Amino acid sequence: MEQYHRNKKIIFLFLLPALLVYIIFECIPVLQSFYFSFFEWPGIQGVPLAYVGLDNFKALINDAQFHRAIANILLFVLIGILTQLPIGFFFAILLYYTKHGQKFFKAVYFIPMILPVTATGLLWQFILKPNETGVLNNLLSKLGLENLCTGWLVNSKTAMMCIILVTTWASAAYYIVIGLAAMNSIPDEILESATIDGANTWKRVIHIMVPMIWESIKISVVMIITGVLKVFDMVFVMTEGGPNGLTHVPATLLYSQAFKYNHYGIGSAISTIMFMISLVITIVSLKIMNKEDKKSATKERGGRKVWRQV
Amino acid sequence: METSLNRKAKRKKRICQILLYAILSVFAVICLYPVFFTLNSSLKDNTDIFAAPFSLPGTPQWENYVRAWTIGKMGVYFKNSIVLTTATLFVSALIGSLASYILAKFKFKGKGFVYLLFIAGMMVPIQTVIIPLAVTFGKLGIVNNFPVLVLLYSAFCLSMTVFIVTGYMKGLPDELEEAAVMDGADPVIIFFRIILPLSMPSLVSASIFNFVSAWNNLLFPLVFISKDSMKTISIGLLSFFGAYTSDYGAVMAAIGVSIIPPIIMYILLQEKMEKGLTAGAVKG
Repeated sequence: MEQYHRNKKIIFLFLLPALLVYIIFECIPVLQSFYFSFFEWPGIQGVPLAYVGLDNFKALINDAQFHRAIANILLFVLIGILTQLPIGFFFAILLYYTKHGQKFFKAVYFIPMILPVTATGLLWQFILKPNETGVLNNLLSKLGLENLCTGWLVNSKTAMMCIILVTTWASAAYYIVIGLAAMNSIPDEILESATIDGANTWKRVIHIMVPMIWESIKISVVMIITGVLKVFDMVFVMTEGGPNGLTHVPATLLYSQAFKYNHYGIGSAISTIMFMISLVITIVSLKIMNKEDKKSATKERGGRKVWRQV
Repeated sequence: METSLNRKAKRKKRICQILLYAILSVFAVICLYPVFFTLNSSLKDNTDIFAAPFSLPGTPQWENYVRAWTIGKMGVYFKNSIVLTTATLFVSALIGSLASYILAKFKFKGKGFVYLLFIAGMMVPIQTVIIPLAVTFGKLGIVNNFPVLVLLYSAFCLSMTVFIVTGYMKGLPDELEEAAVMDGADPVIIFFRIILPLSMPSLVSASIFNFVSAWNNLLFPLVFISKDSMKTISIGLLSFFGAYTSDYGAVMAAIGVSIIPPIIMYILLQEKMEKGLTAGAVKG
């Protein structure tokens, strides 16, 4: 048996196809992307790459549109955490205390999440249309709130917020399911003994539930951050970065720089910066989680358990 | 005395219950209404969509779906998405589970590194690779090429597959292979007859996650598919939306075509899908 599990030929042959595909289509392009960020190339076959050193990064540092994209993504992360997390865990708690129809409501809440992002973006784009053709505006004027009517995705004041909130609509269900799984893994005896001690529902939630699912709340925050940093589809479908580039996030800016304006070097520099940010956040959050893990190795609960079920 | 207290408590509990269901229902409407609105509008003609957006369709305009399916080519896009996604799931499940078997059970130098390499892919945003790939594919003249796209999609499914399946296979006891190894069975047979069937639950979880990300992928087809007859449902929908902005009924029907299959799949596989999707939530 020991010999079988050290058979070099099997190891090589079984590992090879996955490694080849993975290295050719993912690893090498990632490395190439770093390399390209030091070059300028207009995207025309036959034209050689021109080495420009750090010029692409310097250009980005002075580029107002890039600043806007970074500001947008930070806002996206912030509002994402402030909306998805409370909504998700609030409804997880409500569902935890729902005796009849828990499964039904959970299923309904999950629907926005399984729709293709293209469809979600387009259907909301339709709802948020300007003038009275937009459904939301139509509804507002019926309620006598005409002064609130606006071109939601055209108005520079509302466009970004609309995209962020539609993303919340489409992803809050993640945190309902994760929160509910974490709560279900709390041993019943703990909640029961608290009830006997005279703690009311509210106290039980704050003093017992929240600490016990703390782990899964932390994981959720990390998931929202890493997820939002990569946002492309929703912005691309709803506004394509418009009006006037005001709703660009790094990923859509990368796309338009590379494939609209043929600035492949600038695009690569954006992707390098995105990759670095993503790497730093992943390492930092893993570090934080591991530390806590060692500290509380004995009281593993909640999120960690969800993690395990994977 | 006690009964009146009891009654009070009961009443309080009842009010709480009503409040609970009221809040749950309001949120349910927020989640469902936009979807219902789309499906409802997909059965109306242009005038009705704007004149009476909130009412039910008078006579259902099924022709909207016919127009979306034929003129809008949603039928073609739908078929393309099915082909591309199915092939991707097959390839990534096959090569991913072969690699997972090695990473879970075998011993060799550098195993930790190989595993980490696969897992690290979970944090690579797909936008990172799009420019280098566009350049390389451009040089090699690869465009509108399904087999290459399947390999590309599969590469991005591998991290999740290896992560989930390796973890699962580690839990399978060695004794399962032992008898077969004693009998001198071929490793390929051991894998397909013993290991793979036992690992199915984990492979299903991984595949559901991969299905959703492959079916929804927008960026790869956007850059690598230019031929209309090869477009997938995500970019097809986008180009139909751009080209037929005045035929709202058909546009709504096209959105309907793209959202009905995932909804049906969810209804059939509810628990499995929740598990598969939240497993991969890290990927965003």
